[in-house]
Amino acid sequence: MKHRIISTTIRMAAIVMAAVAAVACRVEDGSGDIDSTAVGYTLFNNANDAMQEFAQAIDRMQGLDLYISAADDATREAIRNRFFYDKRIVSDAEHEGVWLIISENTAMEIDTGRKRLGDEGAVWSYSYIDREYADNKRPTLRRTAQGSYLFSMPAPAEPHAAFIYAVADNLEVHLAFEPDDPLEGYSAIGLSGRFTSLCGYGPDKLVLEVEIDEDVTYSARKNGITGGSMTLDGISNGSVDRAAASYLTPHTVEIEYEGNTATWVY
Amino acid sequence: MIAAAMLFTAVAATAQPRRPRPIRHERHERHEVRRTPDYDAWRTGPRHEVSIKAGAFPFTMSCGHLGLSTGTERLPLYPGIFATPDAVAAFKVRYSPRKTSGGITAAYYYRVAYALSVGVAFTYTGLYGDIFDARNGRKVSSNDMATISVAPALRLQWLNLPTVRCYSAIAAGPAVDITSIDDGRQTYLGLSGTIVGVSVGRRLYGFGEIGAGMQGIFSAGMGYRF
Repeated sequence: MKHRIISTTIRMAAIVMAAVAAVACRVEDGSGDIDSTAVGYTLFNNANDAMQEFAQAIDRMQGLDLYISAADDATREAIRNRFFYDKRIVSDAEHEGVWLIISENTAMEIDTGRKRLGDEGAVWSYSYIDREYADNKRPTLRRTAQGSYLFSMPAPAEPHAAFIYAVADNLEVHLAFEPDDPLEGYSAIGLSGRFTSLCGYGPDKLVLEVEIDEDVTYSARKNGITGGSMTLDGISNGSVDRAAASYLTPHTVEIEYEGNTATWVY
Repeated sequence: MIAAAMLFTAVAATAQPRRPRPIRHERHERHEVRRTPDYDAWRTGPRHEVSIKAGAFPFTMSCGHLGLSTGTERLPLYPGIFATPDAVAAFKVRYSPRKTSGGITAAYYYRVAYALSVGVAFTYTGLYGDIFDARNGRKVSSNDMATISVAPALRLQWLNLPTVRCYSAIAAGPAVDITSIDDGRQTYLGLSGTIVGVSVGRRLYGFGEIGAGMQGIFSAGMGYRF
């Protein structure tokens, strides 16, 4: 009887041991299927981040232009409430033509060059108090014709410290305000040309070359980009990934990557 | 009452005479404390012991207790994710499910006292998977990890019967996780504890354990004493 118990125990131990070892428990489920346009979508996000930054900065400058040129104090306050309701606008007493748009976390300093945005030869530049740019350059909006501008965005002073940033050299801007009433109108911004976005930790960054094929249009009324398309070339680890992105609505985009097309919500 | 007395008398008369008890002189001659046979025999009995076992849910520094604390190999796909070199590379591959061998432990113990053994335990834990090219499904790399530890061990046998032993044990020693994807090596102090172990058998025995650490949470194996 005792031998039978021992024998049974050893057999059971062997079976359990074999089961644990041989069955080989699955501990991770793997990555499953990911959308085939995922790479293109991430490239789009880099480009879109820059687009939103450009458009919102231009929109803000246009709002300041309306604020400065308001007919009277009541209109000016109405414009401030409309465009800068959570911010203060202060004129730099020591530097004529320099204005500060102060929010809770930062302050945007805009140098108007003592000209209105629509004046011939107008060159507006801006910077944030917590951001420095290479070679002491600043993002600049330069008027070239009625409603047309060139926008430049320099690299940050410490590019390795920035996770994502964009560099633009003379991006074409078409600026309108519709209807032409500061208390009822909204900015409509068209962007065309090319720019570069860099993204990554430290010096290891993905370089994205963006070429706008069809004007990208930003609507302040709809608070987003409503149309336009661009070609995206992402360069990383020695290879180039090409994708195409077409804005559909302020929050949807169609991505084409390696022959596959998908609509993404962003 | 009378009937009852008569019945008792009749039964007593028919009962067989009681046999005299044998005299056990040794009981009077040797007043020994009663002990388990093993307590007397441990010095002369087998003091060496080798065993092998498989443990479920072994611990590794990189992945925790395998099967308990690890989940899906998640790609960083969420709205607004930016394209970094790593993110783009991650989207170009697919990870297969990973499996583990469990913790395979070979141990040697030497019994130094009635209730105490010292020894050393070698533990291997394998984690196996593959990485495929997302476009053509070809395997591009292995996604394996091997964990090896060598741990001096102490075992307290707190119940010693001739064929059944109950014990607790602890082992601590260097361990290393070796990952194939980047040939990375992470070294650390590996710990393992057996809360309760039960072995059944004299020389060849089977055993089961519940514990935690490098050797797993639930273990079973076989051993041999010599």
